[in-house]
Order: sequence, then C-alpha cells, then structure tokens
Amino acid sequence: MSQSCCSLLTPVDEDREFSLDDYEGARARWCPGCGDHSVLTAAQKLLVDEQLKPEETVFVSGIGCSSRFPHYMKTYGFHGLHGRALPVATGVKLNRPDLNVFVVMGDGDCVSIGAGHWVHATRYNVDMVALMLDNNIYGLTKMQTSPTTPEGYASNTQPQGSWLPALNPIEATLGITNASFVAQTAEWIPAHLFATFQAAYRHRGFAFVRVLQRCPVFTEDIYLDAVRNPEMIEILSHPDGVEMPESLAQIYTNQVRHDPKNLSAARDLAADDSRLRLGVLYRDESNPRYEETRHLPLHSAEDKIRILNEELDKYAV
Amino acid sequence: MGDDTAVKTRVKSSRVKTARYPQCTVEVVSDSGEGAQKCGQTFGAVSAKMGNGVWTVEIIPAEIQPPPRSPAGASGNRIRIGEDVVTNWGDRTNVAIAFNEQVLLARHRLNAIEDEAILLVENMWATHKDEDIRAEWAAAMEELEGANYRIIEVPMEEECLAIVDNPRKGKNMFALGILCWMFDRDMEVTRAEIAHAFRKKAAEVTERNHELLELGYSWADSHLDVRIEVKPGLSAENTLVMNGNQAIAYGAVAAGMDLAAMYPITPATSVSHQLGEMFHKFGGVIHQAEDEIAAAGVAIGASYSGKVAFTITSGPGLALKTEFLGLSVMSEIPLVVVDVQRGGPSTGLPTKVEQSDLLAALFGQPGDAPHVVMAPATIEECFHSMVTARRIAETFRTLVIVMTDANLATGVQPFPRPVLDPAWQGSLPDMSPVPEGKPPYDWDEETGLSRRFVPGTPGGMHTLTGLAHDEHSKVAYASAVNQKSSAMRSRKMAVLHSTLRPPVVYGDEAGDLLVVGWGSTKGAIEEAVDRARAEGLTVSSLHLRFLSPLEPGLKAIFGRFKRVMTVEINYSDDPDLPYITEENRRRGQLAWLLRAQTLVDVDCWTRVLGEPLQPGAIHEVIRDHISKGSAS
Amino acid sequence: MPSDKTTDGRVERSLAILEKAREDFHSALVATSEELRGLLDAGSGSAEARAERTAAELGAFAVGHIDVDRFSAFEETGEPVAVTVAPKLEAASRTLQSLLDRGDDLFLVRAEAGKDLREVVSAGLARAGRAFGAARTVELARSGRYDEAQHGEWLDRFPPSLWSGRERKLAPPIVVEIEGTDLLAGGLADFLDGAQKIVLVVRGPAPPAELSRLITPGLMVVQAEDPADLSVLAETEGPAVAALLPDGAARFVHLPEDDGGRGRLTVNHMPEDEPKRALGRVSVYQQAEGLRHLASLAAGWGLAAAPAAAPSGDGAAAPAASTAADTLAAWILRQADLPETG
Repeated sequence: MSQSCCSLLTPVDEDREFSLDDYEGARARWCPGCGDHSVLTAAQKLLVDEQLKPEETVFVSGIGCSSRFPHYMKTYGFHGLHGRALPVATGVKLNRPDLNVFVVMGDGDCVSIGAGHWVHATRYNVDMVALMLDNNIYGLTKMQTSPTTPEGYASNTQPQGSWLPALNPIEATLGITNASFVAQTAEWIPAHLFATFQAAYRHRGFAFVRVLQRCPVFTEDIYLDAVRNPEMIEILSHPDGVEMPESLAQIYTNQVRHDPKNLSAARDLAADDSRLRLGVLYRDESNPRYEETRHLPLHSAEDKIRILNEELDKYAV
Repeated sequence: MGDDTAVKTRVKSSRVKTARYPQCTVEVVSDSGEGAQKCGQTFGAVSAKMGNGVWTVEIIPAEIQPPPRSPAGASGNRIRIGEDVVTNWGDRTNVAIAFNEQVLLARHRLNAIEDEAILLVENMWATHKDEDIRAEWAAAMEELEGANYRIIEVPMEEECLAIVDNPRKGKNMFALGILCWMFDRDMEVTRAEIAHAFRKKAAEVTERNHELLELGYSWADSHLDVRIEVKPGLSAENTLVMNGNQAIAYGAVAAGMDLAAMYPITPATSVSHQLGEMFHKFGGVIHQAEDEIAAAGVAIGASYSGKVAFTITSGPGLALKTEFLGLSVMSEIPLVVVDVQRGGPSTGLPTKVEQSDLLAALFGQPGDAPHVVMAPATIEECFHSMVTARRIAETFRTLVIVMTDANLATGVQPFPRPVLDPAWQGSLPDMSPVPEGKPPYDWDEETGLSRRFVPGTPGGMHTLTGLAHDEHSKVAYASAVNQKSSAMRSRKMAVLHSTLRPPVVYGDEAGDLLVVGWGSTKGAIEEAVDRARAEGLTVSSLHLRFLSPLEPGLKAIFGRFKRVMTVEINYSDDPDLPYITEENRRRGQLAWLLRAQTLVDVDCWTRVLGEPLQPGAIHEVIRDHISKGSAS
Repeated sequence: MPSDKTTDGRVERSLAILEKAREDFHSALVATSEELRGLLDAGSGSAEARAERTAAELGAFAVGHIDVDRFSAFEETGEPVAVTVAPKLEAASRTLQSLLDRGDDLFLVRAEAGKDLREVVSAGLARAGRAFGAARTVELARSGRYDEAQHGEWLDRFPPSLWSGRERKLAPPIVVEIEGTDLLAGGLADFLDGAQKIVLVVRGPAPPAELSRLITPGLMVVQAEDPADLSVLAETEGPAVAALLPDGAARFVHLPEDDGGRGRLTVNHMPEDEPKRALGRVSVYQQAEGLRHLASLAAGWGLAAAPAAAPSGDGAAAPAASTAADTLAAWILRQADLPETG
C-alpha cells in the first residue's frame, strides 16, 4: 500500500504487537442478542490478525444501529450522516491511500437513502471494506420497513405487510460495472464471518460484504429458520474466495464449489433465492482502483508557485 | 444585391470623424453558436492588453439551441471599456454589432441600447429568398429606425464569402475587424490573441481567421466614417485578465488545496473545467461525484484526513449539501464551499445572476450551525478569497462558504497579477503523537478553538460524530453537554468577529444616505454613488466581505446616516405594491440580516432581472431615496 | 559526468521507468518537509514574527478586513519548540530542502571505475536516506532522546542498515551507472528488501549472468539490453533489481512469487560463447558460475529440461521463447559434456 501521502515525522513503533485490547473502544450498547456484537468481535479479531495499526485505521459509518460501530473500536472513527458513509470514506481514501478504511452501514443506509453512493462506490472501486449489516428493518427508529424487508412482513410503517418484494443487494451489486468483490456471510456463523472479512480486507479494491444480521427485537423470526436449520444454507467455497472453515464442515453440509471469477454463475446464484448462500460470489482484482488511478505525487509549495506562475502567464496582459 | 448597400454606407475615409469617449460599451450579438462570444472576448482582451479598463459580461440565452433569428436567442458579449478601471457592465450600450436584426431588436426592446448608439447589422436578411424573413427584417428595421440610433447595414455574409464557404463560422472575426478599425485596436495584439484563442485548432484555422479580421478592418476603413477613441490610461504591466470562475480555480491552487469534489451545475461548473485542465499539474485531484451530496461528503472525508478540501456549487446544489455542511460544523471539520449564485428559486434562471442564496448559506443547515460566510466583490477578490477562506477554515476548524455569482463568474476584468506567496498554501496538519488524555475537542474555554487530530496521528484515535458530543467526542446523554458544545462552536464566530476590522465607508463618513451592498454589485454601486455625489447628493456606500460573522461597527456607522438601504440582486417587495405594508414587506436578504443584527431600520432596493445592476438604475434609486428622505 | 555516449540515454530511461517509486519518495519528502515547516513556524518566534507569518498566510483578501495581530494571537501554537531543540529541527529542515533541491539527481549514482558496487549503492542510498535520518532526528529531538554521539551523523548519511520496515517500504529507488568490470552483484542482496528498486546501467563488457545469483522467491530480477524491458519493475510493490547490459549478455526476467504461488523465470537469451577472459575484478569462473546458476534455475523451472533430459516428451509446458530455450538447452548440453545429438 502506498504511504507516499504521509509525512515521515509520525513515529512508528514497529515492534508494537496489537492485541484485542488495542482495538476495543467503548462498551457496545446494542441490545443483548443483537447480531452486531458478533460482527464487532469478528472485525476486532481481523485487526488483531492483520496487526493493523489503530491510528492508521478508520471506520466510517452512517446512521442506524450498526453505525454505532466506530464508537466501539479504538481506531479512528467517523460516525457521519444517514446514507453518506461511502462518500466520506471515498474522500478519506482518495486523500490518504495509506489508511485502512472500513465502512459499516445498515440496510437503510446502504440500499435506501444512500443507494446512489452504493452504486457509485462500487463503480469507483476504491480499496476499502464495505460492510452492509442487513437486519431487514430500521431498528434504531423502531421498526420501519426497509428495502430488504421481506414482502408481506409487517412493520410500523407498513403494518399490513411490506408491499414490495425485498431488494436483493447481492444481485444488484453484481450488476454494477466495475464491481470487484461481492460476498455474503452471516453473523451467527462466526468462523465464516471472520474468513469473509479477511478475504474482503485482503482483496485490493472495493470489497462489498452483506452480513445477514439478526435483530432480536424487531425481526427475530426472519433468520430464525436459517439459524436453526443449517440445511437452508449453502456455502460457496473456493480457494480464491472463502474456503469452508473446517469447524463448520460437519454442520453446513451443503457446500458448492464456486469460482468467484465466474460472474454469470455468481449472478445466477444471487438471483436464486431457494437457499441462503454464503461466500464470495465474485472477485476480480484486475479492476483499477480509483485512488490509484487518480493518485498524483505531492508538490512542494515552491514547486506549485513555479507552475502557477507559468499558468498565470497565459492570462497576462 | 450589394450595390445599394454599398452606396448607402460608402463614405470617404477622409471624412472620418473620431469621437473621444472616457468609457464606451460595446455589444456583439448573434444567434447562439455564431461566435459572438469569441468576438467580444477577444475585443475585451485586446483592449485590456492595450491598457484600457475592461469589464465584459456574457449575454447568454437560457436555451442551448434556441431557434435562429429569435429575440429570445440573443447571445453574445457586452464589453465595457474605459480610460480608467471599469468596475461593472455599465448602463446601456453605445455600439452594437449584430448578426441579424432580431437579436438587435431584442436588445432594443430590453432597453439595453443608448440613444444615438451606432448599430451595425448584417443586411443579408433584407434580400433573403424567404419572404417571411424579408418581412421580419422590414418590420424590425422600422421599429429600430423609430428610435434615435445610427444604423449601418453591413454585408457581412457577402464579404466573408470571399474567404470562407460557410460565413456563419467566420462572421465573428469579420465583425472583430470592424470593431478593431472603429476603436483603433492594435492589430498585432489582436492577431496574437486570435492565434491564442485557436491554438488547439489547425494552423489554417488561425490563418483563415486572420484573413477575416483583415477583411473586416479594411471594409470598415473604406465604408465607415466614425471612429471612437477610448484612450488607454492604465499600465498593462503585471496584469491578468480572467473571469471570476477562473480566478476561483487558480485561487484554490494558490491556497494549497489538493482536492476538489464537485457535481456539474451552472454557473459554477466552469470552475471545474478550469481545474480539470490544470489541477493535476499541481498534484490536485478533482473528483466528479455522483451527486451534490456526495461531492460534499468526499470533500469532508478528504479534509478530515488531511489538508482542507473544497467543493463548488450553485444554489440548488447548496441546498442538497446542507446536511453535510451542518456535519462539518458539528464535527469541526474544516471545509471550503464555493457557491456561485444563479437566478431564481428552484431551477430558476440557471445562467443568470442573482444574490438569493445569502440566507440559505447563513441559516440553511439543520439546527444551529455557526460558520463563516464570505463574499468577494471583484474578480481579483475571487482569487484571493480562496487563500483566506482555507486559512480561516483550518484555524477555526469550521465551514467557510465563499459566495460569488454569475456576474463575477463569467465577467472578465483585468486585475493586478498576484505576487504568489508559498505561505498561502499552509502546511500539513501536525501529526505528532497526541499526549495521553488530550481529548479530540480540547476546547479552549474562552475561544472554543482546539487542535484537530488527523487519522495517522498516534494516540489521537477517536470517533467523530454528528451527534451531540462532549470534548472526548463521546455521544452526549447529559443535558448540559449540548449546551456547552454549542457554545464552544458559536464562540469561535465571536472570536473571528473580534479580529475583523470595521468596514471602510466609500464617500463621506456621514450623510443623507448610506447604500450597503455585498458581492458583485460593488462596482455598479460605487459608480452610482460617484454620479450622485457629483450632483451634490450626500450619499456614501459600504460593501461587506464578511456576512458571517458580520463585520463590526455597523450600528455606529449606520447611525451617522439619515437613511440606510441595501442594494441587492434578490427579490424584495417594493413598498408601494398592493397589500405590501411595513409589517409584511419581504426585504432584500442583506437587509433582513442587517435589521436583525443592528436594529436599524434598513431599507432596500433590489431587482431580479437576471442581469447585473446598472449604475444608472442605482443612481436613480439614490436620488429617489434622498428626495423621499428630505420630504419626510 | 560521463557522456551519454556510454549509456545512450539508458540512465534517463531507467529513471523514467522508476517514476512511481521516485514520486512516492518525493511525495513523502514534500509532506515531511511541509509538516516540519509547520512545526517550526507554529512553535517558534516572537508574537510579531508570528503575526507577520499569519498575515502572509491569510493573503491579500484579509488586508483591511482582518486585524492579523489579533487573529494571530488566537492561533493554536502547538507545543513550542524548545530553544535547545529548534536548531536540530532547522538542520533537519535544511537537509530535507537540500534533498528536494536535488530533484531526480537524488536517485542517480555514477560510480567511478574500480569502485565496489555494494559500497556505491550503500552510499547512494545513505544519501537519499537522509530524508529518513532527518525525520528520525526531528522525532528524537522533540522527545528529548536525541544523542549527538549516536545520531549525529544521520543528517549526513543514513544507510539502509538503519532503515525501519516502514522506511524500506518507501525506499528511494536508485539508478547506478557502473563499469561492467565492476559488476559483482552478490553484495546487493543486503539492500533488497521492502520496496527497494535498484537499476544498474552497465558500461562496457560485463559478466553475462551476474544478477542470476540474486534470484530468490520474493525478488524481481531482470537482465536486459533494452530499457523498455525494465517496465515490469513498475508492476511490483516489492523489491527489484535490474541490470541493463551490453549486447551478448544473458537476458532474463524473474517475477517474484505472488500470493502463495511460485515466481516465474523467463530466459530470453543465453549467450553463445562461454566466458573466456577475466573482466576486471570478475574472474572467468565467476562469470561462468553466474551462467551455470541461471541455467540450473531454468532447468528447475522446466524451461529447458524437456529437450535436454526428457526427449520422450513430457514437455507440455513448452516455454514461449523456444529459440531461447533451445539455446539454453544447447548451452546446458555443452556444459554437461553430452553429445548434442543426444
């Protein structure tokens, strides 16, 4: 990763070893049983595993339950506006490609109010991890229908049941030009969650991960069957994606080998809703990364003045 | 054809009279796409290079491709040149050159043409094969001849055919040749200017245009009998000629900013065009975002992680960005926003000038969002204001909105070449380790100022939030916390206010009337004040650069005048209109602000004609208000 | 400075290929210099001097509108730089500026004939490495840990042996112009770490396959005649070494291994003739040893093994450069003293 945009003055203790303590921020205030706890643990474990420097790591979020995430990390965090995490993260990474950038969004954040940014961030392909924590509902504001709420599911805004079929974020992301990493995992399978995060972090490009996430208060029943019955889940396994963690092989017996290079197969798998599919659906590292194609070397102040004077000559009388 | 016309306009060069004007306004008008803009711009640039004061304004139709020969389609340039500095577009035009009679008629009907003006008009339409066109020509000429103009028909097409197959693409240079003869412009300078304008095209194009220029010049020499002399009274040394949007773009570079995020919007977009051409040479990145909101978000993300970034927009875009602007204030991330104001509510008059975003810029963000609003008054100030804006944003960890308008954006004026200083560019934020326990909002209790921690700074890790927060950036649940942090953010504005100097009054320190303005109207207001003072009226003016915090000492200054009024390009109810009372009258935006801040009964006169204010119109308003004042 | 006749613009083209690495290093220099200037500005000087600087920074728009003395009084001045520390910081700032002033020259070393290549490279890197030395000096001085005896030299030379992992990732690339008779590459292994890029532009007769000794799994190694063949250097983020050699030397590219996969060796040319004469300090044996090493590696990659050892044809992995493979095979056969006809 390029560090060129940074001054050398910041001291770095290279012998520092980071443990979980170094990443733990405030005590998480999500409801007991909320899937976000498990996501937080997996993220912290990833940072330990990759030994990311807390000061060089930024978690950017929007607004919603899941967007409280940065407060519970001891890295830099940016808890901004509803739906707008991706533009902020894009700005951070454009300016500072040396930083490790993670984005945490909810379903309302990502595919409703911020849907335009989701489409375009996918297209920019900036090197970052984008987690969409999908509990199929607006939780923080107490149970309003979201775009991923199953059709017919009752909420406070649509008590007769959601009028529309649920949006399929994976299928949609796979349809966006320049998509480079699209994965789905579930917070109740920690080993798979972690393996997916690791693959996403190691991928160079925009890594979109939809995390199926239980809300024990408002949508407890939505993933209940899948949690209880591993038969409903199909693991997409591949050395270039996520391999089935050994500990799970006995439980999740539906395993399919899916080569993440195969976009059309990925789209077919995403569109077929007969099963919940977990794994890396698509990955292509050959797509150029926006912050790299736009990268330019810094110029000293004196240098800029010299060039600016040349430019102004064009307007000289 | 031709013979008649030739007789009508042919005069002996020996009978040429030269009239001396201290300043003169020229218009070049055509259907859009016929190159009147290029003709006018070149004439303006040549005049500036010769040492004339110059102000040029684009005449832009709202439609991209209006039907030909329609009055609504008049497109071109107004160029006001003077012996001394020219600060505004003036009142009415003294010389017009038109490629068809309909666009000329449009200018006449808009009352844009001065009595006794010299009007040169393409006469091919008089003998056009289409009967309707011939009829239109006859009707228009009759109407024009009813006014007190000197109309000269010019066989532009016919003459140009000698050189080009499609005169529609060449008339503009022929017209330029005529103007060059009339105003005795330096032909060497003109040729060089043309070569520069067509530098990206093939060499033959420049050659062809030079030929057309010469043709126009010699046609005028053998057919016209009047020349106008506007003595160049200025030194052209160390002078730049550019428009306000170019000045903003180069000012951003001079200010050391490395990232601009934008979404196309008229009339701000040409800042991005300019940046697109040259920003990369400085290591700068211009990010065209998916929408206005994202443009603000990307700029904020970049600012948050290093040097101050900026975003450029116009009114409708400013509206879309408001939530992010509030976040920048709340989380104390420095940010510079340029608002190039345009006309009208909603989509309004996208290509026209207005000053209607002031209150939106000041108060448009959700909740209490104290921040800085500045307004450059000239094209030169467009350049320099970017340097100051970045510096204030950095020091005060806040949002700075720089407000210009379509008048500054597209107006072209010579100004002293800035002597560039590396200090303008600032330095990267200090990223040395943060001492343990130092909070991310370590507000100075007195001033509200604090150091910001940029990612990468060891020990500075915190989560910045748009939620109410304490000095540790912890989400606040205690009731007093929001009161305190709001006070800290607000205090910064009071501190900045304490560093501002009271504005300098133009004219006497006391009198019957004080005219207050902001932004692009400065030149027109001061010219009107000069005229009124020359008549013996005791009027002065005041021009504000800082709208938030407002410049100090206003109440004391206002107290020395019998009446105070603002002159602005935004809507207000005229007091004599039906139903309008003192109580319900909606006033100009600066008037609102000044009344609220100073408790002085500030009056206003505003217009939303989609064009810059004319000094003559303001002059009349001054007379009117002073006489009203003495009557009461 | 030797004339271009001897290197035919190869130095300039090599520098051009290293543009990205040069820019990264240059950017770090600019950023460091800028931050340091900010530190020095903020933390020192009288109130008047600070006000003067603030006035300059606020620019012309502030004139008449902002009282800069008052404005400056509110400025957050940061930790004032201690009087004892300031001179060290200023010296570091001057060092950075002098490196910036050198431009591309910073990345170029022209070695005198007879010099030890390892020492030449070390000195060149130690010179550019002063940027790291300057940053470290600032850090130590500010935290009160600066010790003249231990760190006093760092502004003058800061050799790669002292570089941290982060610094190695930002390593300044270097182009070394050198006589072929001095081309002994073994010692370069010490520097090839992080993102270090070294390009040797060789004048005159040179050992034919000297760089083959440096081939290790994670290292990019290239021998070429045409500078255009060095463009692969821009594609690796890891360390790389390349030599531009006169006609007749072996030409090969070793790409480093990627995620878990193995590296890839491509031999584009093997010299027909065996080394016969010692070249300066490089003996015939050393020259031949380089070639033998390259050949054995190539055999290991299955490049030339097929025609030589497995005529029965388990040769599905036939290399693209078949003529080169043939040459290589022939060369190996000669070395093994086997009849060429098999």
